[in-house]
This record gives sequence, structure tokens and C-alpha cells, in this order.
Amino acid sequence: MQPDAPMPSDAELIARVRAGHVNDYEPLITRHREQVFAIVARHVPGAQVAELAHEVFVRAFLSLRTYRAEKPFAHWLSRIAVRACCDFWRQQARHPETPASTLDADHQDWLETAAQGLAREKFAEEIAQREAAEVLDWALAQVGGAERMVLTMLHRDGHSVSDIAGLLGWTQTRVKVTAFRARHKLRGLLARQLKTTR
Amino acid sequence: MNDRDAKLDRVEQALWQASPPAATPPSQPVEVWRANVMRAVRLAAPEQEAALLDLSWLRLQRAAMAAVIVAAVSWLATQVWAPVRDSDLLKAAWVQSMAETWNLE
Repeated sequence: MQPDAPMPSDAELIARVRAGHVNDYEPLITRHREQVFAIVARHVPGAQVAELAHEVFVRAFLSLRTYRAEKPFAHWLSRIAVRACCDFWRQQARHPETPASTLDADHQDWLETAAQGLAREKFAEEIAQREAAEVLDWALAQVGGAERMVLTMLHRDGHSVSDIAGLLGWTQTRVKVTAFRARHKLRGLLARQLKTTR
Repeated sequence: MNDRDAKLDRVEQALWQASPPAATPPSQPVEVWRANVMRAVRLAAPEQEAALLDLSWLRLQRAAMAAVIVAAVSWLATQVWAPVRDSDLLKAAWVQSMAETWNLE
């Protein structure tokens, strides 16, 4: 490639990969790596991020023939990344590699404080934030699978129902029903946990 | 809203405000990671080519099937329509219809 030549667009690179020039997939990886890592890192444990991002790019390569240029490649790749995260949690629910975490006294204390609404100053502290994240992680581990993904995208990442439907390839109704069930499950878990703290 | 629901609302709200998991530093340099992805992609490439060939073959099959169906339907239509078109009955009906249209006796 000439040094002054403009960088080929995603569409040009994809066309070349489809024509059998596999090496042209590498610039696509370089260009979209950060975006895929950002999505994956928000949904799976840190130790799994690189592996899952790797899987996302291999999956995208294998599905490249189904890509239509109507939407940007980045958007299409995001859908694959979100679905890969969803599959990861489904697989975890079926064959958990690590036993579900349990809540210790600090977490119970955090729950009780949050329930009383006394937490404002305390939450500013890093430790309280970490405890909150751990309680959330514990609760989401109980919720599991696709429900977990829907809840986090809706409540933590602030995606709209239509965005989530687009990313997961679901109908909006399915997203709403799944979110409702998952939230019901989450509240049930928290209620039981709060009872045990008494 | 009862006390229990209010408590749960507060807990839920606090939970979702919890910061997302902190990004852990990558366990391997980016170049190594990318090289591994490309190695996996190259290994998968024959699979991709096979899929493309499958797709082309499938499209060809579909096009051939569509052509056969169109030919069969048109042949069948000709077979049904030709005797009717050539029959005296139709000619008579046509003559009758023209005569009525133009009020010819």
C-alpha cells in the first residue's frame, strides 16, 4: 500500500476479505478492537474479555457473508459482541466454572444501609462502590443468562428497549417481558437477602 | 407503596449506580492478541470459502428450480389454453360478443 494512499473503508476491506484476501481482515480488527473490548468488558469478567473479544472477531469473520452494507460494520460487530456475551452467560448458567459467589457480612451491611437510604456519603467511598458492584455481581449471577444481559443493558448502560431489541435480534416485546421477569427475580433475591440480614 | 417495596427500590437504585466492573489490564500485548485472532481466522478461512461456495451453489440451485417451475407452469398453461383458443366454440362466442357489441344482426 502507498504511504499516501487513504485507508480503505470497511466496505472495501470486507469486499477484499470476501474475495479471499484473508489478511485484509487484520485492519478491520485493528480498527474495531477497542469498540469490541469496550462492549465485552462491560458484560463479562475481566479475565474473560480478551478471549471473548477474540471469539467475536472469529465469529464475525465466519458470518461475513451475511453482512449487508445497509448498516455500518461497527454496528453489525456490536450485535455480534452483545450476542457473544449473552451466549457466555447462558453457557455459564448451564456449566458454571466457578461456584456462585456468596455475600459476606460487609455485603449484608451494604444491603441494609442501602435499604435504609442512608448511604449517600458512604457510597462516595471506593469501598462502598466495590461492595455495591460485588452485590450486583452476586445478584446478576443468580439471575443468569440472557436475563442478566437485558437487565444490565437496560438499567446500568441506559440502552432503550428498541436498542436492546436491535442488538440482541429480539422483538421489543420479548425484551420487555424478559426485563420484567428478570427484575422480578432480582427483587425477590434482594428481598430474601434483606430478610436474612435482620 | 409499602415499606418493603420502598427498601427494595432504594437497594435497586443504589445497585445500578454501582460503577461497572473496572477494566482489567490485558493479559497479553495487543499485537500478540491480534496475531492469535488472525491465526484463528486463517484456520477458519477454508470454512468461510466453503460456506461461500455453498451459498453460491444454493443460489444456483434456487435459480434453476425457479426456471424449471416457470417453464412447467407456462407449458401447462399452453396445454390448457391452446384447445380452448382453437375451438370453434370460442370463435363462435367471440363472433356473438362482437355482434352484440356493435348491434349487428
